Amino acid sequence: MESLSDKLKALGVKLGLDQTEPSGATIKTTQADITELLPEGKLIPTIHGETFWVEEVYSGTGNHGGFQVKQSTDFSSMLEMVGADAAFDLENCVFMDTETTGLAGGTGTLAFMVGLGFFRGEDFYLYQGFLRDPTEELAMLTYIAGLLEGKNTVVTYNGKSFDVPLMHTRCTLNGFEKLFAPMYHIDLLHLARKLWKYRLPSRTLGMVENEILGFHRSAEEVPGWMVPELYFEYQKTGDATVVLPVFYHNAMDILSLGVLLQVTASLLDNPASLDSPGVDTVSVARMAAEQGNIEKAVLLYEQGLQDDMPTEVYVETLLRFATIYKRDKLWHSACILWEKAAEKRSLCACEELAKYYEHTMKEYQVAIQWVNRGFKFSEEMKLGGYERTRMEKAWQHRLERLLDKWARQNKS
Amino acid sequence: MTTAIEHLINEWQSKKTLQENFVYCHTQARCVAKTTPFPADLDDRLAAVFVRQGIHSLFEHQSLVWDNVHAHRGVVITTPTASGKTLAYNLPVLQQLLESPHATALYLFPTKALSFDQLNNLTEIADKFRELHQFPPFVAASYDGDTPQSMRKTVRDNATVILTNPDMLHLGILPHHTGWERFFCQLSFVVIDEMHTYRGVFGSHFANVMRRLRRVSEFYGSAPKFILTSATIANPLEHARHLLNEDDIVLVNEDGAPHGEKYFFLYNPPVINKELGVRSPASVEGIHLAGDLLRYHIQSILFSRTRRGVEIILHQLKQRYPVALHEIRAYRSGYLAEERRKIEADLREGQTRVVVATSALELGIDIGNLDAAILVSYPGTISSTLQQAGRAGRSDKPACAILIASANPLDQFLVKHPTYLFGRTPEHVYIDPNNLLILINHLRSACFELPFKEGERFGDLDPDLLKALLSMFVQSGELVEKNGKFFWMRDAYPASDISLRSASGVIVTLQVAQGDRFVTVGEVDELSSYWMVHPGAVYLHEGQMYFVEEYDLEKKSVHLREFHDDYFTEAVKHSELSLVMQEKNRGSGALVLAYGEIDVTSQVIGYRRIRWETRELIDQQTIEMPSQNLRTPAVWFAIPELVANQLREADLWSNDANAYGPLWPAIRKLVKRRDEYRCRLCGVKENGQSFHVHHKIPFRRFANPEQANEMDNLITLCPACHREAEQNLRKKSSLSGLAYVLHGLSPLHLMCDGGDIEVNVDEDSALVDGETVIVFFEMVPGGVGLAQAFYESFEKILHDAYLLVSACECKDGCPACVGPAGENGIGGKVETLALLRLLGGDEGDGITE
Repeated sequence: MESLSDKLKALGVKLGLDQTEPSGATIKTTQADITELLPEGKLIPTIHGETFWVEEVYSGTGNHGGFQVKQSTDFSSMLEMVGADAAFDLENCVFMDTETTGLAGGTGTLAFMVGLGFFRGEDFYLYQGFLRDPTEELAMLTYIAGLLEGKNTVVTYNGKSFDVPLMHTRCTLNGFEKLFAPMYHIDLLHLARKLWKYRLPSRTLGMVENEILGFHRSAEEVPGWMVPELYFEYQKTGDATVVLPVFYHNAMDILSLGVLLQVTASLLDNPASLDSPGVDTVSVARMAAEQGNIEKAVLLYEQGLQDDMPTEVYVETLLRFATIYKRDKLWHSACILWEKAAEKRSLCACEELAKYYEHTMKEYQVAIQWVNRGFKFSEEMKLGGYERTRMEKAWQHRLERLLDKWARQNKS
Repeated sequence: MTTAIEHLINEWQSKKTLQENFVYCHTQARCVAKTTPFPADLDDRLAAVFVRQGIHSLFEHQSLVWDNVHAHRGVVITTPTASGKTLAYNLPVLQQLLESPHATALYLFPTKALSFDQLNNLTEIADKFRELHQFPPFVAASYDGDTPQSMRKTVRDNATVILTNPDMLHLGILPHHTGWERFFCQLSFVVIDEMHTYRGVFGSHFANVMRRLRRVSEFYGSAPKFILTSATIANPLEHARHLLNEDDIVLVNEDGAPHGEKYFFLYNPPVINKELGVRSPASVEGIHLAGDLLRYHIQSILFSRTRRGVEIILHQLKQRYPVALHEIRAYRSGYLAEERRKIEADLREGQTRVVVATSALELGIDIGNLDAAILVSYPGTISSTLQQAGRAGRSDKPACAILIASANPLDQFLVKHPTYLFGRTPEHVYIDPNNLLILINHLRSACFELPFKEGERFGDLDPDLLKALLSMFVQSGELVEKNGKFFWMRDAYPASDISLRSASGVIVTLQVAQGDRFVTVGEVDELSSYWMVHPGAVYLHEGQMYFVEEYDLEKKSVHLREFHDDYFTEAVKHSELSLVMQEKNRGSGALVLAYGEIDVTSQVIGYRRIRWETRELIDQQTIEMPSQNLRTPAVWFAIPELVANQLREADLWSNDANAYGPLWPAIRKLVKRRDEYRCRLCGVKENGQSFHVHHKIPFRRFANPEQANEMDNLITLCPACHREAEQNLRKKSSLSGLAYVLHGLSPLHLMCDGGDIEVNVDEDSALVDGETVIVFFEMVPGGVGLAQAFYESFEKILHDAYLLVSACECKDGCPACVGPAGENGIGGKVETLALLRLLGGDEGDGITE
């Protein structure tokens, strides 16, 4: 008789990746237990069994990168920006990050480690729960529920689309109430995206840590993409040594969250406080504009534009700022901004000016001058084939119309 | 009073030229409605809504469904098209939703078009509630690939009736069931519409999706009731029970809806070439008949198998009968909803008189009822035939349906054996949810969805096998076992490895150039792709024909372009069969029939181009595709020596002189000279008696004499050896004729496509020590139960094969019986018939007459 796996092979079924390894090869003689490897860890009894946790306290006066772990922070600008309620208090925040068996999502992804951070008094308290095997999940959730008592805000990095829904899936699967559902959620990724759009090539937590917090991880660090494989190996071999770096990885994530919340809040409060005052200030101005706080936006735009910044950011800012005036038909102020942008060869600015002189002022000759400038810029920009034809067509069309109008105006 | 239909039928019957083409008429007597009042426990609000819709009572079958649902039994409804099946299931579901406002229901439809239609239907009901100043008791929404991402959460959080398809349930809902907690906790009903479409591979997948649905519902503590609908099939109850692994299901099949008299004609087009057995094309005849219907102002629908067919018929009808634009229209998938609504309205109001449609329309989409239906060629299954014919039928007037046979063997068989269509035994539907290849990824998905508990069952899967599979996953590291529970432990989403419409999960995408980019129009699984979409193949997709320009083996993509020629292609395969294990055998007359598993190593080495209408062979092209391996169940039998001898003795010589061409005498001389006037088999030298020159590959297989008469194809033989050679050839052609007819007829018994099975002649076979063997096998790895069914109904199929071949009017084999003359050697009809007789095919009682 053929064996089941031969039969499957004959049918063309591919089994798991490890199938080719001879069985036993990966089983080490020493199976280091997590409780031995992390003697500071505790097995905590709950009504649903034991759950393994590591606790650590970081002094508030210690440093994380270029910042102190606990700073005196004014949160009011940030709270206004994210629309949080007044009951916010740093002591009532929980900083949360999970380590999972994958990014696929759905019911089959396990959060085998849940890291939680709290500010208490002058210090930062870190709690890391770890599943020695999946059956301990209910016990872990039970303990988390206790830790969360009295907390009203959860702070994450990308938690809105990943960690929180995942935790809720885990809760539902265990017949547990959705732990974070009643809390206010601040997802720092959403703020980071807006704040550092211009400054950072990407907004991963690692990038923000390096570039904004000035923090660099030690050799203990493992990249996030390796994390699931390490846990699989631990599950397979029982050797907990492989997952130790994950504790460090997760701890640093949580600590960075704690510091980043304060740094972000301070920056929103005083955008010029860091090393790139111009770019940061106009970013906050933009956020204020999106928030509908026009007064603040105008103030910050004006302030930010006085500092140095890369030309693209400068031009984009001028154009954004101008839309505020344009909306209110404050043409004079808008024109000043457009003309500044046009000096930096902005095609859009030329277009805006051409439109303004054509439709509002009916000064066709001036409009034609702006169109011609636009033509010149577009030639210098060396656009690609399709884009170029499309643009030239539009400008050509505009020019013809203007010439026509001008001719008619002259006649009459 | 005689109606227009009856007038026209009289006219047809009285015309000599037509009379003989109307080979059979099945009359269904007029019957009155069998109605019952609304059930006493029907909610008044619901009753009021239906009264608003003009419904004042129920048909008997509808109240039977009601009663059974309330007795907590699952129900399968198999009443005909337009008998009010939708109302039959909506009624108990809506009542439940009225009684408990949080209750939910899941409606499953095989296609998006169907769920769209039913959503409209529910929306109308909701509107009626509002007209009566009542709050509709449900929020209905479709949730499928077309639902915008931004809408999905709203639907998940609010809808109480979800309309979706099995693919979405499998890929998008079950693996994310925690997002549907509210919905699953309150799940009271699962409605499975058009259950008969879940057969073969699709059905086997579907049954596994149902197993997973059951697990998830149980997790949330709900036990939904099931209501299924189906077209007429032979085994609706058995099939429903198999799909759901549930015994407590009852069948409701007595139609209580009224209908007028119904005439169902079988029409065989006149033979226009007796020699080749060529009949007038079905579409040409269809256009004629449609013209008659137009003349008599009889509203009708024409079904064609392909979109191109629809276009041709539409074009010719319009040319021939210049009527207003909206009077003749096409209606097929791919039309926009608005367009469809317009045509439907025009049909209802009588503005449109003829509508030409593809078979895509046979599923429950509501286009109202018409007076006549013309089926241009057999749609492939009896079920489809009845569905399409069911489009014609009014509650108060006579109606007629006409099936026009094409040159296909099945078509020809059916017009000669109408009992198949009108007897009580349409096709059986088969599935095999435990096919390992199909099962395995569903098992992975099930583990992904919820940890398996030790002792937990998965449908009717053998617990030992389940255990073995789970421990295999543990071994491979995909699962972790702890305290009798199996946890998913992979960074993967196993549901995405399954396509419900294919067996292997390895998918080849089909792309059509649109401007400078390629747009994916469909997919086929890799196993079938080599013979379905090899370069040069003509591929039919949703009624549209495409030509395969390129097959990129690495990227697993195929480039197609639209195709408007009138031929199709058939892959030529070279296969080698080897035995894995024989599981059982049994005697059948002179034969020993064996069932077991085999390995088929096959390679597509070429393809034939064949004309659609006449099935005439245009030519054969050579290509080379990678070889592939298929492990599959099979049924085989050797031709006993006795039978072989009898065949040899029976002098079946039919001395047809072929027209070898004007050069033949000269070529003959050349060959004999080359062979030094010796017989190349026995070596005897020509002496007095003139030796023969023999075509190694039969003359008729070639498109022209020049190719047939190539020197390499010719040898000199003495008359005795020539006779021997021809007889071997004849044996060969009798076997290939038998294989051809078995392959042609099996789909009728097994309710499958011709492409799902193959029947090969395997010479020097490894299955029965070196003998010549006929092998039936399934094209799906591991099979879906077709070989088993073939094993069981072999005698019936053999007998039908005999009836088909013996009744065929062709002289020496044609596409409608043993294959076109010239393709399998010399004719082959007489030889095949002799073989069938020797095998006992003439004695069978298979036919249901």
